Amino acid sequence: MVKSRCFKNYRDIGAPRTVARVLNHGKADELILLNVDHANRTIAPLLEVLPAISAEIFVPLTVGGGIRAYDDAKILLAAGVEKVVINSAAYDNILVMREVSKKHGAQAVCASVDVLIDDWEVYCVSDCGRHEELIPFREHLDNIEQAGAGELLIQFIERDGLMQGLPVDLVQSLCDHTALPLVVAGGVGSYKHLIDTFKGSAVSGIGVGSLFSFTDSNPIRARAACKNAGVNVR
Amino acid sequence: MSEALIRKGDFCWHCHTGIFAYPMWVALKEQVPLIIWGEESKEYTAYFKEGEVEEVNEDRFNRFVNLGITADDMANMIKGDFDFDYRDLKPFTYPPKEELQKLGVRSICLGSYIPWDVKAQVEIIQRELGWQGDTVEGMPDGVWPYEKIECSMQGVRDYIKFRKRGYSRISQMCALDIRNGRMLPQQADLYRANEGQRPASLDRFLEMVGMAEAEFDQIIDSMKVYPWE
Repeated sequence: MVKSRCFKNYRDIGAPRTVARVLNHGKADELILLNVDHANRTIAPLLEVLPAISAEIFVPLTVGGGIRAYDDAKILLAAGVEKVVINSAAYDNILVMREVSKKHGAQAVCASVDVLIDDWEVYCVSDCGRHEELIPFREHLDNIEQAGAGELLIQFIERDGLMQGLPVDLVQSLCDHTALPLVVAGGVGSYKHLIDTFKGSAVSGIGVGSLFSFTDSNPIRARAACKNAGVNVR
Repeated sequence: MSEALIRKGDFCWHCHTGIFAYPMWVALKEQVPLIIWGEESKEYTAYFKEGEVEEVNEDRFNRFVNLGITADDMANMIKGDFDFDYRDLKPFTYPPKEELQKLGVRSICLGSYIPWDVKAQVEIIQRELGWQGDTVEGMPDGVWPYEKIECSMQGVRDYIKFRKRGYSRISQMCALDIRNGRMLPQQADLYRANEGQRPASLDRFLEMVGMAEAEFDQIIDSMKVYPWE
């Protein structure tokens, strides 16, 4: 398992099975596992590690990276994951998302959008941060919503792994734009970033990677810091 | 030590994991089904809720003891840094759940069943067993001569703690004594005035891990824990 910086510079953080076990015991709310293997944009790498992870954990599991067709999602859901993450396929063939939502329910579909920010302009990027899409960002969000996604995961590519914080004002403007529950990731480096984002926006959840992998923090401490600051978390 | 310091700002991964994993291996080898530890972690931390009986098991081990790094993962992280055998890391791995279940191991804290009062207990072992305390680097002489006396690097650990969190073991111990009605806040302020001094043992530590102090400073400064700025 790796953690990236700006979707590059992958750093080893342990084996999927053991990392999942630690986060399970650490009371994480949810585990988002993404296949970021540039050389293999299929779900095969996920299927390789899923049995070991599923055997270890009780934390809801959200997985993606390489889902191209409905059958990919169906296989992953049958393997025991709670939600599938659909990203690049939403640009090429949004019917995939629609079909998964229709057959398995919106709660099983997490639509993921990786973005680059230039001032207040937001650009969609697919294929593990390698391909800039032409569709306007907010139009893409509308398409996702109409296709039946149950949740939206926005990842800020330029902030990924740098631990410098999240763009709180932008996060709130996204909350205003979409009716979907919003999860954001990319930039959390301290509890203050979590508190500021929860307090400064209506975001539903925040994805945390580096803070748990490259400091002595963990989900229990993060949750306690948020609670102490008056943020309503589980 | 350096891998854990760089990744987690805590060089004692080997100590945290070894303390809680190795006795479990011994229990398996010697077929000891009952292990009794000292205080519960919630004397000092909030990883368990009040009233929740704490089992010293793999759940607890992964929850906070091992800094989120299992020995298998550590082996891969340090692979190539120096020569070692994977077997060298066995004392730091947690034994398989199935083997522990087969033995029917219970691993519990004495502090779950009796009120935990270190000062009172130290008095007992001093009186009845002749136990002697020691000086700990960075701590005022003779005030808490029983805490962490087993660790020669406690001064460095405490220094790191202060720089990461804004308080050290002095504040921690003062807080306990104030809570137990043994110290006034004014007395605590006198002790706390000396917190955060650079320990002499830092030189020895840096030599051991082969690290320049500037790099050490950079690592620790990047690990500050909110609300400490």
